[in-house]
Amino acid sequence: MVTRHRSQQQTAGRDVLRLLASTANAVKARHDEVEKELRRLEESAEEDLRTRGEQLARLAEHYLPAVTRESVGNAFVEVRGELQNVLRRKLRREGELQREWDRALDKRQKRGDELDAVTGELDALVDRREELEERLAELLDGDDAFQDLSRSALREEQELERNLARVEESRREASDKLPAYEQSRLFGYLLRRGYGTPAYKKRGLTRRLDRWVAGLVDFNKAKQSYDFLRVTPKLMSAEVDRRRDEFDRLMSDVEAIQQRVSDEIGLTEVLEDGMRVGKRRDAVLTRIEAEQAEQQAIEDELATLAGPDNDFYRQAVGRLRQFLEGLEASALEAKTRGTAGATDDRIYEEIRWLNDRIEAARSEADQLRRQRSLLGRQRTDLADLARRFQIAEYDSQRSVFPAGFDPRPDVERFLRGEASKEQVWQAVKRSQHFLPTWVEERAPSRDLMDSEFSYLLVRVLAEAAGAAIRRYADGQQRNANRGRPGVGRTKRDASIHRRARGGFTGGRGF
Amino acid sequence: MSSQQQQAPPPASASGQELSIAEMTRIMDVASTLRRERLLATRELSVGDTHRMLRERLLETARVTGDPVTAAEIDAAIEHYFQSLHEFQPPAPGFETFLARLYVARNQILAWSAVLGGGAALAWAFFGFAPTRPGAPAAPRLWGRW
Repeated sequence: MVTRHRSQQQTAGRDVLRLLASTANAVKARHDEVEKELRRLEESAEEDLRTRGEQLARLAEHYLPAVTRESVGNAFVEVRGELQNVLRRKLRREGELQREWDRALDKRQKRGDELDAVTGELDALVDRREELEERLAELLDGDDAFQDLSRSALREEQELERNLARVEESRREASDKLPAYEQSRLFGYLLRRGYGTPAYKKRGLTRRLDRWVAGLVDFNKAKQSYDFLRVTPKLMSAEVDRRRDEFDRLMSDVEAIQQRVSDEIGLTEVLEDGMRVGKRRDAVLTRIEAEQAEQQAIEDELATLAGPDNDFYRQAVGRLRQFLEGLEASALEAKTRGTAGATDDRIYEEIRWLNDRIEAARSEADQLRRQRSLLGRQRTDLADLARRFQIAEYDSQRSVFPAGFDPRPDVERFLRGEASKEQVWQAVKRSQHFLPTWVEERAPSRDLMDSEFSYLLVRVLAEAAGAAIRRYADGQQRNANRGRPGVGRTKRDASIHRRARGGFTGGRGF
Repeated sequence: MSSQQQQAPPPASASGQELSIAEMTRIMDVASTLRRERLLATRELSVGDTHRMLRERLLETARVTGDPVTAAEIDAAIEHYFQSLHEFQPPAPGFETFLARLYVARNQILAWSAVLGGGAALAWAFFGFAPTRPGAPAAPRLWGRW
């Protein structure tokens, strides 16, 4: 065993690698903490910025309560020109709306006159209609044919209503009584066979037995009732339809007489005129409703422009807020102190406090960003050192460091930024060495081991020295190993292919 | 359709010529049926008049015979009569009616009997309901007989 040659005081290479890895992990954890803290700080700063924006908007609204000549005239001279532009556009829109409103008022007046005229015309036609209707009633009262037909029509109408009720009653009676016939097995049997009809052709015993069954249910009488219930409602309904047609013809005759007399006295013409004028009045009313809706929309927009909830006001306040946002803190303070009221001073105090907070957060964030960058670099360097350590095979069992070697001071100096990665690596490299192999231990001089040839030579000599011992052992085991070819051969092949100064890898550790 | 009918000349009514006696009879039958149907419908539509006429006659009869029946009782009797009119009267239950029911259902009874009998015969054939030797398996017994 190689580890048997390492003294207890020496530090193993693996321990040094473990220290580098744990340091890298600690640096990564700190990096993550800094990252989290930075994120929290940025969120807080964003919230402060948003609040400051709101306060600036409040300040802008305080200085510009409405887009009027007075408030724009009192605004800051730097933005007064732009605010006056907004004011001009607002006034122009108000003027347009006012003109539209005036036009709508004129139209409404005109429509009112039109409606009055149509209403007057309609009232005259109504009077005329009532007069002619009275005349029509007098004339029809003296017309015998009309009176006879009217009385007949009235009678028939009442009779028709009674008939309809009777048809309904007959249908109800059929629906109540027919199921009993349909559910009777004896009656149903005879009905299916066509008993009592020319289609019934049975003879002999069957005919006699069918007659016996028919006698039990009194088939002839039951069949008559069954047919009556089935057919009569339909016949009654058809008869009622026929009577309704007669009634319609009668009513047509009555209406024809009425129409003739109405034409003669001019009532028909008045009615047609009335319908035409009525439609005109409806159209005028529809137009008035539409125009009233337009007028209401104009009034609503004018009311909106008078208040703060309109686009012009939002544009003006936005511009003023933009201006206030761009002002230096001292300039803003001077502006607020220069005014008479205390409201803007209070808002300014709030803004100043938020500015301080934002500034402090920005400074702290810069520091944290620098720290994060440093930690990121250190983590990369430590990972690189560990990789280099492994490539150099310092983590092998044969890699040792002298007793009392402690890499921690160098690593701490590296973490404080007082030593570079290269300096740490050189310190590690200087202290590290590999324990010799058994071949190196038995070699007379280290110079002999510098070539592959010399290595093989020493190895052959060493093997020859131990040959007697092995031969005895081989002799003892040969009998036992007979039948297992290639046991000794394998060992020899492996030794031939070993590299100089090491074995399995390009370095010296393995 | 017989050949005589196929070769018969078209109806005289189709060509507007003189109608045959058979056609005239058929037309009169149709007209008579229509008239009867219309009369029936008219009578049923004016059933109120029938009620009134019947009521007057019954009252007159009661007056003549000296029956002390009241007008309200006559109205109730007329109402009951018209309500029970055309109602189906089932046969009185008894042995005769039972036999009549069996008779009208004879085809179904025969069909079910045939199905059950066929089923029983098949079951007997496969499972040996009448074993020839006690304890012997059913199928060999059956095949042995075949």
